[in-house]
Amino acid sequence: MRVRARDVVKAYGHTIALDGFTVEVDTGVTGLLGPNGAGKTTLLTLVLGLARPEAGQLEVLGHDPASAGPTVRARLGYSPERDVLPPHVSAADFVVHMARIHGLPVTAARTRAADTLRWVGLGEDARRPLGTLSTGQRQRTLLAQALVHDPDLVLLDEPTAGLDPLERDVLVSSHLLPEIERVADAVVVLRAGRVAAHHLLGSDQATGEVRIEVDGDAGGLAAACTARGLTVHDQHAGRLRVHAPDDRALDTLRDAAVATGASLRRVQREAPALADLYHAATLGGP
Amino acid sequence: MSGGVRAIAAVWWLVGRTQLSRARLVALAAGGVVLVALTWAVAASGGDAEPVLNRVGVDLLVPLLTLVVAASALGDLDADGSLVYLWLRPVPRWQLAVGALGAVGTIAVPAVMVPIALAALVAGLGAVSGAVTAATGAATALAYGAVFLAAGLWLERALLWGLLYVLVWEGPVSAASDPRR
Repeated sequence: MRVRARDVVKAYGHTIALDGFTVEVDTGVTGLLGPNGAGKTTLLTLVLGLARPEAGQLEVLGHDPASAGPTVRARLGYSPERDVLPPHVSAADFVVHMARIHGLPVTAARTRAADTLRWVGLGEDARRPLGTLSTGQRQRTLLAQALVHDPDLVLLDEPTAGLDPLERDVLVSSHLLPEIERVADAVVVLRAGRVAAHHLLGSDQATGEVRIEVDGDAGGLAAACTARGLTVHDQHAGRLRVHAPDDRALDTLRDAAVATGASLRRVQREAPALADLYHAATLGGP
Repeated sequence: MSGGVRAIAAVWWLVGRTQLSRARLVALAAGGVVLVALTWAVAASGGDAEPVLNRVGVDLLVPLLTLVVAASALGDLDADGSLVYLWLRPVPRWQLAVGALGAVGTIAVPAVMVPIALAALVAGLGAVSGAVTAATGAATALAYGAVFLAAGLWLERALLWGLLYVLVWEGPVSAASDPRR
C-alpha cells in the first residue's frame, strides 16, 4: 500500500480541509479528483510531510510523513501545480542539480538527468534557459525533476504534460477527467474533505448495464428479457442493452437467450464513464 | 563527496545562478563604482578619504550590496513558489541554509571586497590597512548576508525593510551615536 489514510483531519483555522479522510492508495496510477477546495492539495501537503494532521493516521510508503519527512521525501517525486522555474537556468542544469540535492554524485546525476529529460521528450531544448521554454516544455521539466531520482511514488499536482508512459506508482491531482480516465487505474473523488467515491477503473465498478450483440434481429431476445422482468434499453437491429446488475439478472438474461435461440456474438458489461462517477460523487447528497 | 556536501553544493549553485541576473550584477557594479569614484574625488581634492571609505564603503555599501543579493536569494524563491524544489528534498534545513548563504557570500564578498580594496588604494591607505578594511567588509557582508537571507524568508518586502534599516539605522542613527564623532 503506497498511501494509507484513516480518519485524517486537517484544519486551517476554522476551515476544515480534510474531515475524517480515509483512503488506501495502491500501486499504479491513482487520480485524485474533486472541485476546488475539496482537499486535494491539503492531502498532497500531508503526504509530503509538510504539515501534520490534527487527528487520524497517515502512512506513506510505510512511514508517518509528519515524523519521518526526509525518509518519505527521499522516495517521493513531486511536481507542483505552478510551473515557476528559475528563468536563467537551463532545464538540464536544473534537473542535474535536483538529482544532486537527492545525493547523486555529479556523473550519475548528469546521466540520470539526460535520460529523464530525453524520456519526457525535452531533447535538445533542455540546454535552453527555462525562461525561454514553452509552457509544455516547462511542464516536461517539472515532470523530469520529479522523476530524476527514481522515486517509488510520484505526486503530480494538476499536470498538463502527458502522463502516458509513467510506468510507476503515481498519485495525480487533476481536473482533466478524460486524461485521468485514460491513464488511471483508480480514482479517488474528494468532496468537502472527505472521500466521496473510490473507484477502480475498468474493473468491478460497472453500471449494471450489459451490452449484447446477436446474429440477426434482437427483437425476440428483447421481448423475452422484458417478459422475464429485465429492463431493455436501446434495442436496435442486432444490438440491445439490458439492465442486469447482478448474477441473478445475468442468469435470467441467459435463460432468455436460450429460450429464444438467440445466437450471442457479444456480451459485455458497460464500464461507467468517469464523468458520470465524478458528477454523481460531487453533486450527490450529503 | 558525501550526500550532505553534494546537497549543499547543489543548493549553492542553484541559488547563486538564480541571483546572477544582469540587473543585479549592474546594481552591484554601480555601487562599487560609486564608492571608488567618491573616494577618488575626495582624495584628489586633498581631503582625507579614509572616513569616506569607512562611512560610505563599510558602513553603507557593504550592507546595501549584501541586501540586494541576500534578501532575494531565498525570499524570491519563497514568493514565487520555486522554493518548493528545495524544500521538498530529503535534505536537512541547515544544509539548505548553508548552501544559500554560500551563494550569497560568493556573490556579495567579491562585490564588496573589490571596490573597497580599490578605494583603499585610491585613498592612499597602505596595503595592510587596505587589506584589513577589505577583509572587514567581507566579514561584515557574510554577517549581513545571514541576517538578510533570513529576513527575505520571514518578511514580506524584505528589500524595503532592509533599505530602511541600512539608511536609517546604519546611517544617521549610528553616526549620531558614534562616540568618535
